[in-house]
Amino acid sequence: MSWYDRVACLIVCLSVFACFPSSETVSAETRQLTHDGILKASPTVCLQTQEVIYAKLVDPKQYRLMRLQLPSGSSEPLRPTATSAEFEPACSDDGRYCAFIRQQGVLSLSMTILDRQTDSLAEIKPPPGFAGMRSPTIAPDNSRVLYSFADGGRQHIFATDLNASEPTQLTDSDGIDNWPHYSPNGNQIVFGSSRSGSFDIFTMTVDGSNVKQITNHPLQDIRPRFSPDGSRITFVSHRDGNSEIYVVNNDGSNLIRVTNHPERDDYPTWHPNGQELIIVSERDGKYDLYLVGVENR
Amino acid sequence: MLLSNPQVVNPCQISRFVETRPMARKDHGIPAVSETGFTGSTVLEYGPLSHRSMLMLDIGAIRTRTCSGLSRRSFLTIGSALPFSGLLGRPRPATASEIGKAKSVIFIYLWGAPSHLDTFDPKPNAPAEYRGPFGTIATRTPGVRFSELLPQTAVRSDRFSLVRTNVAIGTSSGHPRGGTVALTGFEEATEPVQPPAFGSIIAKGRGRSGKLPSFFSLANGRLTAGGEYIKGDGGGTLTRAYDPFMVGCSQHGEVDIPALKLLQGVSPRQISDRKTLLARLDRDRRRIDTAAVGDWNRTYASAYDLLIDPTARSAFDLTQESAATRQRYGQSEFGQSALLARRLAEAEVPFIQLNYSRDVDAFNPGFEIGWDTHIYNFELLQDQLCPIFDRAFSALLDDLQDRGLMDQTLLVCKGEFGRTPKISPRAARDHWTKCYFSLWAGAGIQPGRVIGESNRLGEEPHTGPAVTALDVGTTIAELAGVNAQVRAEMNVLEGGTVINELV
Repeated sequence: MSWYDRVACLIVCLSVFACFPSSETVSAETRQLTHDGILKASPTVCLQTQEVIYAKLVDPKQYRLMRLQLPSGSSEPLRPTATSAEFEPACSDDGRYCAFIRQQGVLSLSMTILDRQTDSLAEIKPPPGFAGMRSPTIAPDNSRVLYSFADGGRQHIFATDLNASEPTQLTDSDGIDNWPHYSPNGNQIVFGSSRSGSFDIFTMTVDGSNVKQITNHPLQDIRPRFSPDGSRITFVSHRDGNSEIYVVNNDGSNLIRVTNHPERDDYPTWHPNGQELIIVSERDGKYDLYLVGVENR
Repeated sequence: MLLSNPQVVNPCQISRFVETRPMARKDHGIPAVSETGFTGSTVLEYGPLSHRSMLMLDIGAIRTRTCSGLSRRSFLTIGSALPFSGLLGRPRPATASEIGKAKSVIFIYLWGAPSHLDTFDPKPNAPAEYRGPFGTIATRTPGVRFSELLPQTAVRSDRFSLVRTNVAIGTSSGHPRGGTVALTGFEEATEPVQPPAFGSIIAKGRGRSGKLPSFFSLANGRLTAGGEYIKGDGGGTLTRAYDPFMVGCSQHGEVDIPALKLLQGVSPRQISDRKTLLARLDRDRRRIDTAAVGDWNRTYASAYDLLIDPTARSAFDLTQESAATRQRYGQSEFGQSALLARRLAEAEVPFIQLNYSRDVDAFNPGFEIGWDTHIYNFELLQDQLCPIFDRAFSALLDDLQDRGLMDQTLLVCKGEFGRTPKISPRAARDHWTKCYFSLWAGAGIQPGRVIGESNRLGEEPHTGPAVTALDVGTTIAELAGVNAQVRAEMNVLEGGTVINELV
């Protein structure tokens, strides 16, 4: 058998093998929630209102916040009159508050907290120059908002109240700390950090103490989210060659792979039922929201 | 035949390897790369460092038809696009001896300047304040690793060569000025007339052999940075006749040609006149369709050629591609523009400048996201910039190869400089002119090579050639058939050196 034949054989075998999920992959039912294929990011679920808020790149070149009703599947702009880019939304469990990043100008990003009941805005504006906040998240009791901000060559997680006042720094590592998310009881925060050399998943108590490393891999583990019951964490990882979704117990045990596709799977957030994830998947080059099941083990 | 020694640089052996390796694999059929990488590619090692207002045509607001044809109103407007018509009206067909290996050049311009450490020149052993948070992955080039954000490109590293020792010259650390250096090889001139862009040089040196313009710039308008244009983005000393022909492309593959838009602010009387003219043009179009150009002014006729000739017109029609092909590139402006670039290369357009974004900045209202990542460098790379680039670039490599176009198309990819190896106070990376990367593939290029090595922190070239933008332009010109004599006659690219390690 020639070298070429051997390689061809190997490719065929690999292709056949790739048709079956690996033993660590959880077979999942998948349902497509949006269908326009336009670039989307950062879906977040309001547990009580069954809404999904996400960012979508609309023309003319603007990220706009969209609201998708889970029961009906209908989608519409959350703030149709917005004139600047708005993205990375987070909503409170009761749906009253929505925090997001808003573009102030060139390379200038503020964090805005919208009270949807009163339609009022609170805002943390960035310092002059190139600067900005990222990745807000709201505490289950609506008492605090977390966000990430870079200064001094590092990037830390801060907490503020819903009036966007009195921010306090929670992390102080030699790296990038980002994507904070509260546990359902509000006692824990899960986040991603490069303090170990590459992005891994960590937890800490709400005052920034008692940091525990949940994952440890040389390729990135990012965008963690607690499950509605707090027992599990979903995140994105490159550990299997491209961007895929994983779930792990909150103590770092029982790692399972949820998605397995050559294209990108990203931005997982839990469905209120705790059995499914809402993710952004790239399929045939198009980005849409999908609902994917997570098998209990 | 497999080459087991990664240091071997025997062109004959490389050639034999290329001839006997398996045919191009489709998107998902490419096996993963082992940690040791595939054999058959070459890493070059070196000793110690050896050394050596354009008139834009965005004049209207009515979008032309995007798919199977162009609107009649657009057909009318083009005749008044003087710089464009000038370009069309001065064909200078090159002789056979002037044609290099590349019939077309696709120059992918990563406007804003990507971080070299976070993409193609990672430094995993550097201190934390330099190396950044990303892991590295093996490529098909033995011993060469890329950032984890470029998995599709990594498994195709045997199709292109990587220069890791590009340097930007002079005081060009800002974007508009750095853009001029990147596109012309020279610093911005103090006088109004700037040095000509590489595309303009190729356009004049090669002339126009078909019905399409010789120099396309794919972006939804002239490239901007902080509200300023790159001054050296057009014909410059070669005159505005060699300015680029601008074409935009949406994420859905809708092609937008600013030159064919109606003038804004026309009066009702003018509109009425235009209606009259439309009727006249319809008659003329029928005449041109069935007869010779006749006594039409050659310039106007050439412009009409572009619209009337089905072959020329079809170059802009991405709907002629299969759904699978369009999907390979991804539903993004850059992805669909890359597909358009391939179609233009297929039509043997001499120079296609494929811009990743129109504006330089990562966050700028109204623009797509560019590579100028002064804040949130790492998030922007992982969220958007690298995934879109990785998909489109790898699709372009596959597509050119699958269609047999690689041997006649030179593919070059670079920004205007790199980004600071040391992480900035905003936990991002700022401008860095002393070292950055470029990618080279296709006609005349020996693939699978890594040219030059930066030092341990990625701050400056350590071994190999210090490659300037002038060298880049000179190499492009040489491979595109615009040889030293022609360049001298045009008084362009003086002092540039061909990057011999690539060819």
